[in-house]
Amino acid sequence: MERVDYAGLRDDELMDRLERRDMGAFEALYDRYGDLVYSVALRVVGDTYVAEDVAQDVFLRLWRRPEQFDLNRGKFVTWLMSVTRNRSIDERRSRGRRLRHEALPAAEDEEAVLPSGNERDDPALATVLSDERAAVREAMDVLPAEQKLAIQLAYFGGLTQQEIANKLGQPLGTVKTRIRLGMQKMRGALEERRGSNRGH
Amino acid sequence: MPMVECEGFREDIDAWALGALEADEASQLERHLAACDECSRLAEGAREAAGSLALAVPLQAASSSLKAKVMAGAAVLAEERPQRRRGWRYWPAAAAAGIALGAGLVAWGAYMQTEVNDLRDENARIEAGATEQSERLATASSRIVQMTAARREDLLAADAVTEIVTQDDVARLAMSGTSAAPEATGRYVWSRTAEMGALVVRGLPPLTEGTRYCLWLVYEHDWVLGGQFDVDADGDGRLIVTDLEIDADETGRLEGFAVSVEPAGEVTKHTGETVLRATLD
Repeated sequence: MERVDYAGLRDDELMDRLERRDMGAFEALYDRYGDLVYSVALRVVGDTYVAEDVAQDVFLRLWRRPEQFDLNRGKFVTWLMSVTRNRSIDERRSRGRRLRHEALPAAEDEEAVLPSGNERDDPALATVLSDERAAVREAMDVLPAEQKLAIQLAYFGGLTQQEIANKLGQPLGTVKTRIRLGMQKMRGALEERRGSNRGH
Repeated sequence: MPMVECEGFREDIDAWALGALEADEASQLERHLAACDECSRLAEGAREAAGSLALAVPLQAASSSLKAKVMAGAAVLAEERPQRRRGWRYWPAAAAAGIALGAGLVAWGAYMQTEVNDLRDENARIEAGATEQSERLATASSRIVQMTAARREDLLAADAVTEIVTQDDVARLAMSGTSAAPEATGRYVWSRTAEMGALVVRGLPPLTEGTRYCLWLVYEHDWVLGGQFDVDADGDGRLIVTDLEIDADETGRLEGFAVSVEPAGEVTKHTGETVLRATLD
């Protein structure tokens, strides 16, 4: 019997195995990203029960259709986060925004929607993503608060630019500019930090 | 592709990557991306950056039961391949035994969730189509509502079973079909600490109109109603038993369990034919 050190495999190697219906690979991916998927879902839907529903769905979709991930189009974790975010936003919308998180933070409450430094330690995730996570946080830190808030309201709040403008009482053009400049700065900071290291 | 046209679209690429464009704007941009390699390359970069935002979210620990649900759900889906069918008979054989009952119900919840999401996908495809599909959309939406309600019920049942099977005093008993239902089988799991029980049955005969199955807790001096339930086309069904008020002085010792066919509506006495029976040692 082949003995596989799943925890030592890269994401793309685990995904290869997943396409061959390798349950060990699936479990390793869950162990690596389960808390992150759950945390992103929780961040969007604001309800632990619903967040678990979303996380469960994301992983079962991954198990059923691993071929939906295309290695040529980017990193696995980015794709997984995108799937999680979109699924969470769908859930939030389907519930008519009745979730606890309905009251999106106002501009003065921006810290409520921004990542903080306080979090639990996850060794499985730390081995593959600690640099990446630090890079994103640092990239976000360089943004002016209003740009950061507009980006967060779009990504985690699922709001369109027009909805953000309405919420913040700002002209649509201002919001568009904040998002565009903020993303440009963040992308630049990320690329600078990451360099050529593509890791997992 | 003329650069001037690209410039207009490129202003929207970041908002698109964040999901912040209106639907018509997004469609327009996506049509352009399909035809423009350079803008498409930029869009991939923007999408990668947007996806990275999630990495900065403070980590929260998911419950251990989430992993159990996910793994059990995957096991169910693995069993279904290559021919997807629903039904208890396609569960892993081990699910029939004792503690695996809990995982089985959990898995069923997970399975139902994927069914709901399949329907959501179908709904999305229909929406992307034209208005002539509206009737089909309405049907699918109605099914989604039904499936979502069923899923919620399944997950609640799964939670109840988890509560039962994690108690130290969990007990289980297999039930056999009587001559009225020789093919039927059942299993009842319960815990006095949790004050709950869970019944799973298979192969019961279809109910006639105006009747339901009832689970009875058979005591020395009385039969106490545990609850009513229906079965699906395969005769499979389940019931979570809670909130029973038992006065041991009146009922005497618990002797076993029974399932009978009773008239639908309020039932207080066992009058119908017994189809499943189990006796405690």
